[in-house]
Amino acid sequence: MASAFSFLRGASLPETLVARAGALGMPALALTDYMSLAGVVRFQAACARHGIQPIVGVELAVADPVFGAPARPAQLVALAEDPTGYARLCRLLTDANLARPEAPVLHWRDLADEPEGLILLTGGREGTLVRLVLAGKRHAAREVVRRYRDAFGPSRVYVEVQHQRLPGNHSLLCQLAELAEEAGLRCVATNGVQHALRQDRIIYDLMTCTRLGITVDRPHAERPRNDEACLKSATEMATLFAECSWGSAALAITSEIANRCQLSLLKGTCTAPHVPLPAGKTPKSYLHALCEEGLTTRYASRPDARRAGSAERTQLEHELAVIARLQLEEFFLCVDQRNNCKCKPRQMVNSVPKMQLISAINARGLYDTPLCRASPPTGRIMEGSISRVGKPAY
Amino acid sequence: MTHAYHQPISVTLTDGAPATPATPATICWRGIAYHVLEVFETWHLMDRWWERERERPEGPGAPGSSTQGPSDRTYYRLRCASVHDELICEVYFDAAGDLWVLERVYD
Repeated sequence: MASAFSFLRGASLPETLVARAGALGMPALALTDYMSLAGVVRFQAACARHGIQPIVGVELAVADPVFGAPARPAQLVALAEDPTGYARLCRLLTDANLARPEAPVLHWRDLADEPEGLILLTGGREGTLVRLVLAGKRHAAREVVRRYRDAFGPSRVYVEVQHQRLPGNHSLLCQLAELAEEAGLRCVATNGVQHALRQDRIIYDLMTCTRLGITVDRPHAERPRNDEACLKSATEMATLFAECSWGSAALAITSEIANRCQLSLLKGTCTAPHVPLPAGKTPKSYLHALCEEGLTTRYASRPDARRAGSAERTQLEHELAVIARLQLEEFFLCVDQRNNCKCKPRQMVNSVPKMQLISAINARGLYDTPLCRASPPTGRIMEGSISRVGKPAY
Repeated sequence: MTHAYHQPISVTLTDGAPATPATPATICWRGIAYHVLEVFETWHLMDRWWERERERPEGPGAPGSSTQGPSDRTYYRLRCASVHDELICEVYFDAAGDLWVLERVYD
């Protein structure tokens, strides 16, 4: 399912799609935006509100060697099975964007090198496999399926079948099912969703025309030919695939994939980036050591402030306890690392609202540590300023 | 080879159900009733949503007006039989014009 975060390739916002899926009674939903994970947080938050299991993936533009030049890359869908797979997707997208910012494209080898944590779907009509089948290149299609299977393993590759009620669809689906069977793979039924409701097709068509740089009067192969790329209920999908003997099995595979993809990026708090630690240190012990060092340095001339039971030490211990309870040690270490870095990173700590983080860092007790460089606030620091850190801001 | 006709026809439908949507049961073309023996394939094409009804020279749903006015067509490729004849044809229902049309007949 592509959302508006696919930029001119999807017509509905993640929240709209999730709300529609909730109305249709779907237990799980996969977001696979085109070369982007930008909508994932909003998608997961919306899924949490509707009690839907989110599945995170990407529609990747891949320069497949079977087509030669990457002028028209093939599209493959990769789903993140776990945090390893998600990290892999992030890395692939970053590399592709850095290498070719104007039109990022992956090379098949990049994708195939580290398939851990990923599930590969062969893609819809813009996928290598379907393009070869539609071109009548059955032998090349067979080779491609084997290549996918050998790179990812048979348990990580599914041949994607979409019934979008286009001419020749039945024949295409039958051929895809045969190719899957020959390679020992299984089919999964999807719908290549580009918009939430049927009537949103017009928006999607206009977006497609804009992307292609053409007027609505001009025909183009990539323009939608009907309104079937909408979210459909389980009954509608069952009706579409009823004519295929393997249809119900292909639909059931969706549940199997949903069970395998258990990735949550929210977990009630944001995820802290990993911070390099000295040998033998944990985030907690390292933060405590830094704070102790700061207390000693800052109050070098005031031994009473360093003593057990002093107001300063009591405040520091209180704030460290709050940080420990919220498991935010790495957030604070990350800020320390940032402060000590000569080149300022362009982006603040991942997912943490900047003002909240600064507010927390300026806690009175932590002012006593090397972590804080701002003026200390007067009076007792509010616990809320720390505990807000890590809370989703949406 | 096929012959293109683009002629209006009358159609009766099967009883639809959630898992089995209604499809043509009989078609009547040139005064002859054909019973549908098999539905090979269906597909759905929508076009020219941006055009207004008034731009159609022959009104909405006019047969053969694929380049004039909006269309919302569900196609069926069928095998049909009358008392004397059997044919394979393509018919469509245009929801924009509320009209059944025989588009082509296979030799």
